Amino acid sequence: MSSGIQALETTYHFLFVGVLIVLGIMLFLCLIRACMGPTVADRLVSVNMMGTMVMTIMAILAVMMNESYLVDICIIYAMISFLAVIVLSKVIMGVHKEDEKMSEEQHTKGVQAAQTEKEQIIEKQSKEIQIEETKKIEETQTVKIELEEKNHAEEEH
Amino acid sequence: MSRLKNDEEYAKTKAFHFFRWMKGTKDPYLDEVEMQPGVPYQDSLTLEEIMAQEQQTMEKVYDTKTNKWIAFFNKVYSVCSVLFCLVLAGIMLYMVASLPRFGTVDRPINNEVPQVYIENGIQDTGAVNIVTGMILNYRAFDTFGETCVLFIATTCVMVLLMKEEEKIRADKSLNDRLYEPKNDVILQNVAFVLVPIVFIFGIYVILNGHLSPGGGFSGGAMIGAGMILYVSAYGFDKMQKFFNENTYKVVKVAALCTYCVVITYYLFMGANDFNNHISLGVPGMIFSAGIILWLNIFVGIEVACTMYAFYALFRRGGL
Amino acid sequence: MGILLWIRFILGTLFLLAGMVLFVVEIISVFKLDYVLNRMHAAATGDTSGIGLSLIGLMILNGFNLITLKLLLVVVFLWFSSPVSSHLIAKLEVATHEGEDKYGKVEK
Repeated sequence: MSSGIQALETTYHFLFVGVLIVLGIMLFLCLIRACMGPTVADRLVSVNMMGTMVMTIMAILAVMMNESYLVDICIIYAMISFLAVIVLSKVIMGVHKEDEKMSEEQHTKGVQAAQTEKEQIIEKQSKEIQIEETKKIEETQTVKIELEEKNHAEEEH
Repeated sequence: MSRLKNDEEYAKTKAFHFFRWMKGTKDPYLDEVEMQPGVPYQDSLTLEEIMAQEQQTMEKVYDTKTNKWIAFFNKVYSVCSVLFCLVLAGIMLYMVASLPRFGTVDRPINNEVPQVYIENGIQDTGAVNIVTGMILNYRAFDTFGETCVLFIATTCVMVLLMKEEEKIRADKSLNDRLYEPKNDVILQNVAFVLVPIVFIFGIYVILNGHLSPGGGFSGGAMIGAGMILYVSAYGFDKMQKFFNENTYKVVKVAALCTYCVVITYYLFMGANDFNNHISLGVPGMIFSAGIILWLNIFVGIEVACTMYAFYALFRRGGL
Repeated sequence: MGILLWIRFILGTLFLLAGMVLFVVEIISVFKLDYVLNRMHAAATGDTSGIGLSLIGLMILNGFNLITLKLLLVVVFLWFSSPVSSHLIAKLEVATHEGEDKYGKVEK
């Protein structure tokens, strides 16, 4: 930025400071979005956006202060944020699928248990019906026997 | 037991009485107290039932509808936490505002120590980057401690989490890619392009540690990041073709031991005013600055192995 | 010479401000759209062309030296990496999608 013209240098300074302020405000808005986001993907998107903005800030600072090492840090930041998104998304996907499979297994187990309970209840009911039927038959038989005995007694009289 | 006295003679000494009292077999006041081991606590309920009961009580206690005090406490807690954060941020900002300005002459850190480093740094260490000269030459012993910390940390994680290779291969539930999406083509193609760039950039940062900012720690972190990227794209089977447990052991232990030998030699010769036969070279060239370049390489290897080992151990339970 | 410097300044500023405008559009649409996949579309705009334009502007402003080459490396790296991360986030959203399909059907 050593152009030798005073007006150009002051305009450069004001341009960079203004852009940095705007980026800072937008970074804060990104943070609000990350807190608000209802799903995991929302938060990851906003964190990725924050990474992009921080990289822009670093590049602007590197040009403004004329320090080349800040761009090295910028490259490292890009790498790490890319890696973070990849690993996080893969891990969360795996965990979610595992959970889904576990809940499915539990659901099938529950269905099986309910089926066995139903079968048991049906068996119990059928047994009760059989017992009732046998009781009825016995009752009718006893009634018949009693009637016959009465008839015999009347005939003997 | 190796005693000089017999059992009968030992029974008359005070030590015997003291230890008998300590163990609880005989009390000097109550005489003959048999401290029996108590009956182990037995409960008719199983663990799940106890946990369910505790859950019920906790739900009853923390039910905000019936327990008014808990609801009140929750409100006060959230307000107080926000207030606490604001007050803490205010105190910190106030402290920062009252710090001396960057680059002024009368700062407290402008004493004779950085003056000596800045004046004699290049003659003593040969490194253009004074920070690296301080870390890896004047205070190389501290850095050795940090490298040992990394080594011990990975060893502890290995002790806790490591499983045998055959066990991982035999048991399907231990497979880390059982539920995850496998062989994403886009990710694989991008990793094919990006991983070599990441490795080369990391090696550049390590080798330029004494010339520009960077060095072993940041370069090693980048190489480790490249390895993690490769693993997440291609899986552990392909990774094990060039980096498995045996290479890990050899590389890591060799780096630490060589670091130890080099720094011991350097400190021993320096402390006794001997000539150490290490040429400092021309400052600004890559092969200069004596031991700093080699120490940077060893630290970089150590950090890269640590990063990858943490990821692999927490992910899969084996390297 | 002075005119050339001013022309360089104006050209670089145009690129930088175009990148800033894309960032602002990204933020507004991220707050305004109401589903993740829509929001991600806006966010990917800023991630690739927003930072690309602003870094090209910075390169023009800086002239040719080591910083410019490294900035070019950042741009190339981001053009490789940012679409892949967007792709993985979209896959994550499709895999973990639950509840009724309020915003259209998500096919697994």
